[in-house]
Formats: sequence, C-alpha cells, structure tokens
Amino acid sequence: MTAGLSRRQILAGAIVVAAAGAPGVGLTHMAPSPPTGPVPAGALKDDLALWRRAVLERHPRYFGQARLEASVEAAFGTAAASIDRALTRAEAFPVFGRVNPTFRDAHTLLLPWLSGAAPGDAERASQFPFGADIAPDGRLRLRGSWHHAATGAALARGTEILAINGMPTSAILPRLLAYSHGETPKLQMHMLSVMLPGWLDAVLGWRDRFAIDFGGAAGPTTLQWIKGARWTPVESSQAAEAPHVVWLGGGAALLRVPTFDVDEDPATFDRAIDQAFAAIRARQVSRLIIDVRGNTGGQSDAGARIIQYVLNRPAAQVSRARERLNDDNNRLRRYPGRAGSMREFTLDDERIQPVAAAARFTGQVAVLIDELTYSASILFATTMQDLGLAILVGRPTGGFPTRRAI
Amino acid sequence: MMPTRLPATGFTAFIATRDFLRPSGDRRVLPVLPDIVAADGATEAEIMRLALASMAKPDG
Repeated sequence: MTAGLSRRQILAGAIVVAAAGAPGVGLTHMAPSPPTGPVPAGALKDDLALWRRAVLERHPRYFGQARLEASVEAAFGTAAASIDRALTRAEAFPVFGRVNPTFRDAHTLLLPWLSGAAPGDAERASQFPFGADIAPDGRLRLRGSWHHAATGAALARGTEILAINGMPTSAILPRLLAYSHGETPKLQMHMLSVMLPGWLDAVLGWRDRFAIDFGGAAGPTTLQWIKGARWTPVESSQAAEAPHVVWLGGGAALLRVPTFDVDEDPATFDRAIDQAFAAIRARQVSRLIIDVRGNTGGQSDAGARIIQYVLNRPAAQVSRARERLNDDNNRLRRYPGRAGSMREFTLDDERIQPVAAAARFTGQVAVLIDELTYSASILFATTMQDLGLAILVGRPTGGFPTRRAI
Repeated sequence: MMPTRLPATGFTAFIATRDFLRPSGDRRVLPVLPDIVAADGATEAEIMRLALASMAKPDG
C-alpha cells in the first residue's frame, strides 16, 4: 500500500494519466502533446470547469455533495473570471495554480509540470539545482552540502539562500506559497520547499540559468549557475534521509526516520531498519523513541517495516478504506461499481506480520510527531497509538487521519 | 490518487480518490493528537525529556 505522492512521482518518473471529462479515453503513459500557441479563453475556462468537476466527482470528501467548499468554488470562479483573452500555457499556469491551496489537501493539486508531463532528466537539469528547506524562521536553506568538481568550490548544508535572480527569498516564498498545497500553512510551506524547482519554473519561468545569492559568515556571495554546471551533492539525498539510531544512554535510544519516501530503493530502507533493531536489541535498549517529526510520508510499507518489530500479533494500519470510483480506476483496477460511487473495503490482506519473537523489541516506545508528520507517517503514528504500541509525544499533526485521502 | 490531464492546456492535476479509517475506527476529522503535548517553542532537549519521561511510567 502506498500513501501519498512520492518525491520521485512529483519530480519525475512515468505516470499514468487520464484525460478529464473524456469518458472512453484510455489511460496512456504520458506522451504530452501540449499546445504550442495561445489557448483560447473559452478552452481555458473549459479546462477549469473540467478540473473542478473531476475533483467533485473523484475526491472522497465530496461524495454526495453537489458543490465543493465555498472557498474552493470561489477560487475556481476567480480563476475563470480573470481569463479574458487567449493565454499561453506559461501565462495560464499561474492563473490555474492559485486554486491549489484551497483544496487543503496535500494529495490534490495541479502539478507544476509546465510541459504537462513529469519532468524528464533533461527538463530537471534545467530547473533550480539545489534542494532547499524552509527553516522554522522562514529562511530558505540548503538541504545538503554540494561541491563543484572542477573548481573545488563548496556549499555547506544549511547555507541560507538570500535571493534568486535578484528577488529576495523573503519575496519569492510568499509569492509561490499562493500555489502550494497541503492541509495547513506549515504543510503548504513544506510542500513548497519539496517542489521549489517546479514552482520557480512553472510560476516564474525561471530555468536554465540562476543567479543565487548565498549568505555566509564572510558575507553574501553570488553564484551564477548555468545549465550543465557540475555541482554534485556531497551525499545522496537517500543517505541523508536514511533511518539512523542515536544512543541516548541509560538504556534508551532514538531512531530517527526522516522519511518513508523510499520507493526508489525500499531494500536499503528495510536493511537500515533491520540493522537498527538488531543493534537496539544487542545493546539491550529498554526505551525507544521513534522520531517521525518532519516525516511527510511516502510508502506505508516502510512504516510497516518498523511496526513489525514491536507487534506481537498480525495487525493492519487501517480498519477500513474508501475509494471513490471513476472511469479510470474502474478500468485500471477492474472495479465493478458505477463512477462516482464509493467502494468501502478492508485491508486485511495487508496485515503486518510480527517478526520472530527473538527479534522483537519488547521495551517501551514513544513516537515523536509534529505538524509535518503526514500521510504514511500518520498511518504509522495512528497504528502505534491505536494498537497501544507507543505513546505519542510532540505536536498535533497537520493532516487528519480520517481525511487522509490519497 | 489519480492523475488527470486537462485537455486544452495539457496540465496535470492529481486528485485524491481514497481515504482511510485509523485502526481504532475513530471517524472524527481531527489532527492526530499526541498523548503528551510538547509546549509551543519547546526545545529539542525538553521534547526528549518528555519522551523519556513518558516511558518511565509503569504503564508507558
């Protein structure tokens, strides 16, 4: 079972796409043939209307409803009313994208794929090159460290990005936040950082070359980045986000799990968890803190890999699931129901099996959560709480366990 | 979650199609609430102390 958008799905990869409002149009792997010239105003408004109708007919939140929430309807209305002439796709995207925040759902959005398809390697190579996070103080900082193979220049993790292309990040971030998605402002801010290259491309049209102002102890510096520049990460993002154990002393340990987004290499994640619990057992740890703060999800199987070490009987991460049927998932999964209806089902066939008793962790467990614990991490946290496997400590999540739609 | 292509622009929208009910069956639309809430602005050390203290109790 997968809960949520993986970073790979967002940033690249083959996606199966259906044509909205076009019954009988088959699912196709993305082979975009986007219009090259301006799109007439009427066709743009038709697209907005189709998008609105697709959300109403497909999202489980709107089952039995005739309209979206007032704020979402208003956003669609504002977008349509602002179109008074033909627009290029680059002009149209910022008009459409402003609907995104109103869904208040990190699984429902217009993707910043200006070409219409998930960016391929060539397209990603032209987008903003450095992963960055928005820190709690609102500043944009490098997520990892980088070096330049030819010059030996280096950029340290945490370095602040002061401006891009002459625009201060204090102006860029609020501007792009108007397009970002998620249940809460904090989640929307996080999703903005995850998808920053796409938003800079789709909303501001910034690609191929960037003037980046960095802060630093020795004062600001400007990096002129041109497509093809040979900056490489010091460590892979997977290594930086791998689960790892910190020994706290007194028979306690902390297992940090920064992400469940492991679909590129689930075996490495599984190995890290297996090794962590083997070490925890070898050190006779009796109190274990599992930290999923900032973990916005990914694959629920990754959470299950941890849960199996504290379970003593088979259990599922959800009691029931609902799926809104439509022509596409009916065709893809051979559902028998009518489009628009709701299918309810259990996931008993995906029950987590405990590890052998000799490998099980039998001490006490606390799970740390916060406003960014989301999607597959919410599945994990609620399973640990509901099955009495752990005490939850920290801050309430940004997303809702009962509206964790994917 | 289904990707949906808008025909005139070619833009792609993702739309959630599934939702889940937590193991307890609780249907309330609320954030996941911690059993022990850390105060706003709590430091990392304070949060760790809270977590460790939560497990010091016999029923932890």
